[in-house]
Amino acid sequence: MDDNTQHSLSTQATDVTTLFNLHYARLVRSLTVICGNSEEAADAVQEAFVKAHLKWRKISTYDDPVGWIRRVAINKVRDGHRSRVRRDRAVERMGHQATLTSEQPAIDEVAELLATLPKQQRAAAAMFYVEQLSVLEIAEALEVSEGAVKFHLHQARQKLRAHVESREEM
Amino acid sequence: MDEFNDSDISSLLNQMAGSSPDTMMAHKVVLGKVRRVRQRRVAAVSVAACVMVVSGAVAMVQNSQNRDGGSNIAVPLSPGDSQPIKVATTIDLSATTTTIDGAISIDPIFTDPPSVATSTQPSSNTTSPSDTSVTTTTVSTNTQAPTNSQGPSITPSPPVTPPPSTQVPKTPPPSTTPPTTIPEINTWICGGGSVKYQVTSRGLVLVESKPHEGFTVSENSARADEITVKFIPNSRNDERQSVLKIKKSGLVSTSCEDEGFDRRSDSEDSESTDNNDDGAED
Repeated sequence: MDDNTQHSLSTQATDVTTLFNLHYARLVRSLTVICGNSEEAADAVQEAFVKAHLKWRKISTYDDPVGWIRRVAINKVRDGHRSRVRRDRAVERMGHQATLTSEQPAIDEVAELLATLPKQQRAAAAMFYVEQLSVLEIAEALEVSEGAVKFHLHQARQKLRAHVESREEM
Repeated sequence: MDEFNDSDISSLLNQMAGSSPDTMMAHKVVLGKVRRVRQRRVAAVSVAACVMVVSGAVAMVQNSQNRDGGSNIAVPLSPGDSQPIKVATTIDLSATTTTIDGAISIDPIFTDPPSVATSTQPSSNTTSPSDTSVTTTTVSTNTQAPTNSQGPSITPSPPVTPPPSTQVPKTPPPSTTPPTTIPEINTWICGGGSVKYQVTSRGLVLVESKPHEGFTVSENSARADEITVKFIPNSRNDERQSVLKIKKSGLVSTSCEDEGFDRRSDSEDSESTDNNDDGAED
């Protein structure tokens, strides 16, 4: 292994490591709100960074490598959610009472409220309020239009606002 | 995006998101996963490369074998792989003419069995079959006209072939000597004459061909496996002839083809002659 290769590997590692140190915590917290499980969110983000390591030569040329990693992590969470839903339905068809593993554990009322939100609204609210992303970045991450992101944010804000106001009244 | 800013909702969701995870520990986990994936890839590529190299080498070896017919592969020598030693045997037989009682000239005829002196000099080199020397065996025969008609004749001796093994004995093989016992003389009679022959270990031996009265031998061929004698009449008006064949192929078979012989009329003639004689007596 020559010096150039070693230098490129160290540079790649440094870049990915920098991205990891800057965005890992934010991504995990945002996905925790989306999927309702911190461990699942951490696994999804770590898998996304592993893929980024392996494909860094190509990903480094992208305008927003972090957006690519976020998208991969969200897709991972969605895949996990779909597999859990299929498993629960299969268990129900077998006659057993399925445990609602697809639903996040009810940490508190906020978690229960988020669980009632649609996935797109939940994801848009998590990215906007937790990760502090712009509407454009959320649109790119969710692969939808900016108008759709605004609609989801508006719907999610209304429901969450009603819950906050009801808590304040109590 | 001020329309969506809400501090209460933001604090609520951040509270639900929990505290920041351990980045260093997660980074180690990620690097470990990356290392394992790369090791698997390297192993897969190495195995694929090894398979390709081995298959290529096998293909090259097979091509070289097909092209050269496998001659470039060293095969250990074994006694069974040695080629047989070729020995050419030359026999000098001088044709002789034997005069037999009855004024029949037979040409040629085999005479006494000669004292066959066979000298074989096998090669002593036993390591390489290609180095085996080819020895020519010369059989010199002493051809002397027999004084009597029962003298055994000579037939070409079978070629003396050493055993296929490369280990040739140093002592020369024993000289071929004729059998001491005299074979029995057989006689075969047909219309034109009779033939006396012997069946020896070397083949058929024509001893004598004696035509009947009024016949002569027109064709006489004697070989080791077949004897043919043809008797034809002396007079040109007589169309009778006899062809006697003796063959030896495992068993000895004889055949006699008589043409123009009418035994039935002959017997009737003899009977009529007898009757005439009886009448004369009367």
